[in-house]
Amino acid sequence: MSEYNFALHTYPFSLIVSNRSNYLYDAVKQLYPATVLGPIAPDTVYDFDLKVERRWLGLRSDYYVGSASEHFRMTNKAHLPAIFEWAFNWSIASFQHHYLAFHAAVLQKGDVSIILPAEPGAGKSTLSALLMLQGWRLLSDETCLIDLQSADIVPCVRPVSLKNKSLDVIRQRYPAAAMALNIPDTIKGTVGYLLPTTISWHGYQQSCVATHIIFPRYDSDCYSTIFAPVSLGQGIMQLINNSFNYSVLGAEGFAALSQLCRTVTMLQLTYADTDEALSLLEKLS
Amino acid sequence: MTSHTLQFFRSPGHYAANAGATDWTQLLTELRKHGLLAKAYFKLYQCEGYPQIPLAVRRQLGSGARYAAKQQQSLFAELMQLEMLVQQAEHPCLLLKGAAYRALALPVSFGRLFSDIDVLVPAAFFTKFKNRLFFKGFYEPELPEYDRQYYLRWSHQHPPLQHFDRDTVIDLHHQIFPAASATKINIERFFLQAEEVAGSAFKVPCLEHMFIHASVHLFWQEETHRSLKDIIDLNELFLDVVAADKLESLAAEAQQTGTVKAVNNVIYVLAKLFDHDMAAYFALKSSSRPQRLISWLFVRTLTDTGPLAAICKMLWFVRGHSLKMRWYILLYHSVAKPAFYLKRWLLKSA
Repeated sequence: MSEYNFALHTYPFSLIVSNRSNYLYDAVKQLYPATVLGPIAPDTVYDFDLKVERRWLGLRSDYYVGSASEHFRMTNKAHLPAIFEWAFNWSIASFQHHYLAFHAAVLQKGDVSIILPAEPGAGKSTLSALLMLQGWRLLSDETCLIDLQSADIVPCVRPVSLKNKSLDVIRQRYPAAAMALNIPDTIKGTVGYLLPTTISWHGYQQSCVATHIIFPRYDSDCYSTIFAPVSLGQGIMQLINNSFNYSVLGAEGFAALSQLCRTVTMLQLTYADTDEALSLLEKLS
Repeated sequence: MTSHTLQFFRSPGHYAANAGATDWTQLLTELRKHGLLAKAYFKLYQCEGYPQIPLAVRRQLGSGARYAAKQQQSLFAELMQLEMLVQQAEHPCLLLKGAAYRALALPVSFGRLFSDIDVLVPAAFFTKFKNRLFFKGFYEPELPEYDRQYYLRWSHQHPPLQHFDRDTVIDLHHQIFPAASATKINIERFFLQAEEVAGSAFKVPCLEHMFIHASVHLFWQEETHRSLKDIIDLNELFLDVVAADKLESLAAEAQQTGTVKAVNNVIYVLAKLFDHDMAAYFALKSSSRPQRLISWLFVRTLTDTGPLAAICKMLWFVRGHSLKMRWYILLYHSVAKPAFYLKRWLLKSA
């Protein structure tokens, strides 16, 4: 076993990383606190196992991050931390059918817990980053996990992945925000990470019950902010479209989704004015 | 034997009772890689000590089982869509491999994943049935021309057919072994002895023929990445053959269809890997001795890592191709395929 292998004990998933250098560990150390990062514990069963390899193909020497039968490839070593995060996301999205999972952010303040499901590019990560920096507890930026029995939200705290203009937005509004790594020229452009706040890490194993499901969409052409109720049927269909595994779970998924939606308020939030959107969300808490 | 997966499937209860955390982590990694999480779930779920297995393991296996259950539902839904077409066909339509195992609810099908539906029809009706599938919404997704011609001229099946809306993929077969091979398998008996599927117009090969098909599929080909999954399937099929007291009939059918070597080698390997006593089988008149060197080569590709395994995989690759293609076709293929892709790359780069 290589001395460079390490383990990440995020909740509810843990993983080990097989490595042949310290490069990735040094980068990941900037993203995760020491409480969840460390050597491989011999008495722990890990959910996932990521392998970082370098393969020589002709004149090229590509880097691979392998997970199950898939792998993610890059030619630039600097992209390794971003590819690692994507491989971790892929593992969660592909092998977590003991939860109903949505592509959504989750934040909590006081008695209010909001699920923000959105298509990529709708501004979900920027909005959730700003809410977190305003004191909300981040439960997830990427994957909202719903317990199949209780329909509670199970947190999955990870660094918030920000891209391109979102990075500028956060830096301008919060110059002192804890940002780590700045990786240019990835297939998604420049990628940087906003670190979860102390309260977010403090409650990283603490489930909560959803009170609101809000479908955000940033639209620079929008004349006035729309913050309006969404019918139950329409909301459920939007949630299904944003789910990683609703189609896999069948009746179990339907039951959990019904239980989740029974008591929540569903709203759409279409905005060009970020301050107004934030103020509307703050009023909920 | 280094593979945790093989150790596990050899005796799931024993493995579960003795595994430490590091073993479980390694096993989960291997099972995920080979698409065997759900299969392992069904093995363990039947064990008395299931509740004592670490929660993290039960969660991962349960996740795999849910995915397999979804695939099963999708398969039945698709077979329902095809039912009318099969009812109208004036020839037998046989489900093969995973779809056949599932249609009969054989133990080998519990938690078994698959990516397409394999259907076998008599060669004389092959084009007619394909055309009927086209009218039901199946089309041929684009392939590089060389690969398409490979299927049409030398293989035993049509290029994969995909439904335009449901995305289901059907592999339509007219044989179970490539047309380019010098070896000919007599599949007349597959149709003659095909068995009914309750409530359906589809048929399935009898148990002996299912075992023969799986043996040929494993032992007379060049790939190794699915071998572990395939040998575990074969072990379960084999247990069914033994339970049905059909070993003698299996040996006879292997002789009739011209697949004795593949079947013998598989049985020899199963005996080695899963501790079966096969002396009685090899004493049968209709069976013959296995090819020990070839069987040894196969086991090395399965269980070893490092340079020896890499060499064995290379030898297996060359051997598989030489079985699938007559020498002059293989020679042509070895030159023509790289030439086609080189030309394509040059045209793209220009």
